[in-house]
Amino acid sequence: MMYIFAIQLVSKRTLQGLVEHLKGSRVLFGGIVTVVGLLTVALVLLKNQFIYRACSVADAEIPMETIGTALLGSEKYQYVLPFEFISVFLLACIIGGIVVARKEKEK
Amino acid sequence: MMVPVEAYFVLSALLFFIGVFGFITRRNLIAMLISVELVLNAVDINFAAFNRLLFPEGFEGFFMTLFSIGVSAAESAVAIAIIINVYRNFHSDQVNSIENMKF
Repeated sequence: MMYIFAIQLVSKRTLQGLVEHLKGSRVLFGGIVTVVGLLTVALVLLKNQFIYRACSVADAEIPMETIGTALLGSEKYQYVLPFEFISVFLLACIIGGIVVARKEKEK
Repeated sequence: MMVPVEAYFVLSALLFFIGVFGFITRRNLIAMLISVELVLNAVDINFAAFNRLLFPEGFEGFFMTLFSIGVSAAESAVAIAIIINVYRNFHSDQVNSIENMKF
C-alpha cells in the first residue's frame, strides 16, 4: 500500500515511456545464480528422508481460540508482550518514515 | 484431497529464488524493494509450514511468522522514505547513482 502513496507523489507525465533496459550480462549472471541455488535447495529437500519420517505424526486441527488466547495471554509461553511491543514499533516506523520523507519548507 | 506438505516447501523455494533473481537483475530501487518483499514472504510461508509439520502442538512458528510480517511492513515504510530522499538528492532512481561513499 505504501507503493500507492509513493506513486501518487510522482506526476503522470514523468511516468510515460519509462522502460527499464536490463543489461544482458547481468540477467545471465542472475539467472545462473538463481538456477544453481534452486537446484541445490530442491535436491536437498527432495532427497532428504527427514521430512517423510516426520510426516508420520498425525496433525490435528488447531482451533482459532487457542491461537487467540496464546497471542493475548500473559502466561509463560504466551505472546502479549511482543504483540504490544510490535504495535509501538510499527507506530515508531511510520512516524520515522513520515519525518524522513517530509518536504522541507523553504525559509 | 490433501496437498502434500512438500508442495509448500517447493513453493517457498521458488518464491525465494524468484525474489533473489529480481533483486540481482533490476537496477530500479523500487523494483529491488519489491523483490526483497518476495523473499520475506517466501520465508514466512516456510516458517508456517515447518511449524505445522514438525511441532503440531506448539505455536512458535506461527507467531514468528506474524511478527515477521509486521516487521517487513515496517521496513517497507522506512525503505520507501529512504528511496524518496535518495531520489530528491541524486535525481535518479537507479541504484548505481549512489556512489558518494564508493570505495
